[in-house]
Amino acid sequence: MTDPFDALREPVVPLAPRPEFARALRQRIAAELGPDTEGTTMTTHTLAIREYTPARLHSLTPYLATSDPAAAIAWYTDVFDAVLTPGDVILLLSWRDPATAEAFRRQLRMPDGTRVRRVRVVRDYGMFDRREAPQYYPEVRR
Amino acid sequence: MNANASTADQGPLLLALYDRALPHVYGYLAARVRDRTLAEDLTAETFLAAVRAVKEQKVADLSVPWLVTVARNKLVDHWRRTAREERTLHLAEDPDAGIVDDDVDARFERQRTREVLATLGAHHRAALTLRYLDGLPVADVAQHLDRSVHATEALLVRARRAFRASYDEGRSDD
Repeated sequence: MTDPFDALREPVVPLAPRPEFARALRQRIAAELGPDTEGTTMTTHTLAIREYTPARLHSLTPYLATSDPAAAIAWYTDVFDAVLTPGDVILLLSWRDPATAEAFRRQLRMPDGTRVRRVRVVRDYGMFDRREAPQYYPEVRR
Repeated sequence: MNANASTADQGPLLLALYDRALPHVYGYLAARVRDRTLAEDLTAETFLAAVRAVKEQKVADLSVPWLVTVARNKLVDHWRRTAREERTLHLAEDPDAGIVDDDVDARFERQRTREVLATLGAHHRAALTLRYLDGLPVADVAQHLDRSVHATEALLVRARRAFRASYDEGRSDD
């Protein structure tokens, strides 16, 4: 005679909580583990980008010279939050001028739920070309 | 990733594990407590306890199953707190607690089960969840509840009776 209570057996069924909760808890854990945790992560492990939040994204100090900085920051948060959400895809495309970009956008066909954002690059610089950089760091020689 | 790396490495490991482990921890808790807010609170408590354990270098096996056991411990702590609050409201225990269960051929519906569990006293809810939802042997349940095996078996008898009474009571309104 089997115990009818055995029918209550419930294995762990994964369930995703609210994304805001997940994000906030992750930040709290990272903070508790200490700043060197992130540093260690970056130098000793190759993790997918969704597994750590670069320190620069925690406080967006805008060097952005746009007419609407608040909207730009909201966009930044928007884009990089998607980077940190498993399953979300980001496509970043660049064009030489606004007309070409607009022409591309007009003929674009994307699935429902896709968001398209347009941004103007005001500084174009990197490790190897520092001419437009807002802070001085020497160029890295290739 | 080697979960048995030196414990000094386990901070980054815990963070790396987070995305995969979170739905398991939250899923385990959400299926066993009344509301989402409580499930979130216990999830947070679970991971923060994991952080403390990692910092104290006490984690032999940093893995998703280990985190679920931490979640279970946090759940038991919660039931203990709740039971303490309820203690003043409880009637005296039934002196006939030694009575054996009827052989009732009942099949319990999952949703109704959750509703009924939520109405029971926390100590009954704890015993039934650990023994039946989690499938733990009685000895493990006893350890979690900090009681002897004998006392735990007696508690399970009373808990099953309380569960059935509440379950059938709801039914008779149909």
